[in-house]
Amino acid sequence: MMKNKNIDQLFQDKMEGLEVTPSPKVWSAIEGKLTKKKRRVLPYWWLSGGVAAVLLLGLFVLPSLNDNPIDINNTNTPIITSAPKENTTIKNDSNKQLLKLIPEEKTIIASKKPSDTDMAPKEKATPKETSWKNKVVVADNNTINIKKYNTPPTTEKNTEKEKSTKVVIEKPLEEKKKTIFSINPSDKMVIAEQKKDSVQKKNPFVSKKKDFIAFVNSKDSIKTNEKSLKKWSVSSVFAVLNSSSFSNASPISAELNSSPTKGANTFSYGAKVDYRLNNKWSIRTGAHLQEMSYLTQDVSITSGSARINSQAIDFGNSASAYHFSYSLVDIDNVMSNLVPISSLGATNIANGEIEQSFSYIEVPFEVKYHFNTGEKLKTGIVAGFSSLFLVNNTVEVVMDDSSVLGRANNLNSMNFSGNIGFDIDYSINKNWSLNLNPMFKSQFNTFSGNANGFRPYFIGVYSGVRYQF
Amino acid sequence: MNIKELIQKCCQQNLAAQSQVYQLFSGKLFGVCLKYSQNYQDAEDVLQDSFLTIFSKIDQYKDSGSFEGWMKRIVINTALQKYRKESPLKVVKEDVIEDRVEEVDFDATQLDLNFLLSLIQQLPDQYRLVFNLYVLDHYSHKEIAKMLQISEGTSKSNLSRARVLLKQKIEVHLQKHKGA
Repeated sequence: MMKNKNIDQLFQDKMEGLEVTPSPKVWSAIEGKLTKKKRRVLPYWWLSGGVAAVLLLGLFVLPSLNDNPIDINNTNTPIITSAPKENTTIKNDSNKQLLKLIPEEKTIIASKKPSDTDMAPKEKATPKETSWKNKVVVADNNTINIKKYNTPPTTEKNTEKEKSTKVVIEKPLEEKKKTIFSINPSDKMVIAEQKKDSVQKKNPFVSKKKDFIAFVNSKDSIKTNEKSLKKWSVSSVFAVLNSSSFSNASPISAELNSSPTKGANTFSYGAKVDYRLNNKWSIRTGAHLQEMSYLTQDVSITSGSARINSQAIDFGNSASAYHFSYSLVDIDNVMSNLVPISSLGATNIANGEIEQSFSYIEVPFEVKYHFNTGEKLKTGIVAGFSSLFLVNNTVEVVMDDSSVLGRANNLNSMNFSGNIGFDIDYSINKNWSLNLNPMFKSQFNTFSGNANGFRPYFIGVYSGVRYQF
Repeated sequence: MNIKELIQKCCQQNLAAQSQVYQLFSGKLFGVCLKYSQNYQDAEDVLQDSFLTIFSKIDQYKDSGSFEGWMKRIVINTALQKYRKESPLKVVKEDVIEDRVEEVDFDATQLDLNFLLSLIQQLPDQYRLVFNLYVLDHYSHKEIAKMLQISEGTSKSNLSRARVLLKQKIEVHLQKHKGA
């Protein structure tokens, strides 16, 4: 009969240092999953980059007050002490990259990512993983910080080393900074012009550095898991909206259906709070004050003292007849001056527009799916819905000067919209980024009735500055 | 290339580095998987999941102790997750076990590694986990209780039951082959 101790001992002795080689299929499975993860990112990156680019181009048509100074500073880089106007380089992947960016005159920025064990193409670095490597900026003046030179090539890699390899020199630049997009995650080099003279002086310098960099074969930047650190972010939001409707009907009166109703450009401003659930998803909410307005054009307006009746009048081809049915508008005031044309002389006719504006407080609830892209450019798709609370509504006649007709009484004081759009984030540094967020929002149950099928929607470009923590 | 460098490269998802880490450590870690799993197949699954976890969390390993120990911990946790979920409350009847006279398929000369390993694998999950953690990996009952979300008392009794079972099986086996 074996005692406890013996049993334990028996097993311990025999199983000590047990090593068994697993079958090769295990590694194949692991490898497959690892590369699948990497490969999957690229197509998304392309897709979102492409769509974002198209959207950006398209939306430049809308008046936008927010100029996105796309400053490409990599958030993952621990230290970039570049001058504010300076251009910065863009990293790239595990293959050798040399990015030279010379902002006008004097500053040369050389960045090279050392490649180490060069793997097969499978080993494409994901945008999310890599960042600045060995950024070196050499400038004309004496403010060169050459700590890097003192670092021996075979130093063990750690973050300190990474820091010391980032050398940025300040140089007063007159010119505006250029912005660089690095869209291609693999092997695309962005090279700006160099002024020959300033370069020549430095060429030996720069090439020396290049060789030096080539020695350093470690990865200097450590993948910073910034995503796990930064869950919250708040941003201010300012947007330009263009309102429109799915149908051509007029929300004011059925008789105005044939008048072109167009949405005017309006503004929205507010703040947004974002909570990051994990690498791919985050949820957000916020509050905006949103103004919308619709113009009904080509409206003939008369003044007079007769009361309105509810018959439509046909003016012919110049303008549509209008009238306001009693149920739509409060006719307490000036409205009562509007009368059917037939009861007046022609001299009382004027052409104008009717502008309906209303403002909401919008509280959006949205979910964002992140495409994992680079450190500087993050894109995502956003969908959700908003609650809208009506705060203001007026209907005005716009002729030589506006006069208020009244307010629409068929607007619901609370309604909803469904939202979908894209979100683009440019990181300025670790915590701050600029945000551009074109959205399409379609409103539901805006009107309680008598809206003649007017279904408003609006497209807005929301932009803002975001702070992450 | 030393371990530190390898780890750094793994942080950057360098496939070559990851492959090397696998080559270096998969033998030992697979041994751990086999101990904790019910069978070879499961052990392979555990190994695969463990390495995927290792590679995805490798940036959290910051020189804090032995790398192999860190990986082993991940393997054990992966295995625990697998089996802990499945039978936390299962009460295994002792008589049922005793009726199972296993025909252990092994070479007559080997009261050895393979046999013992198979004995362990055949233990009911809760017994096996506790036995491994206590006897082979030297965790305390307190730690085991935490990891398996059981009481210390349960841990101790599972351990003694595991020993009983193992003893019985070995005796049966030795007797069977004494006569052969």
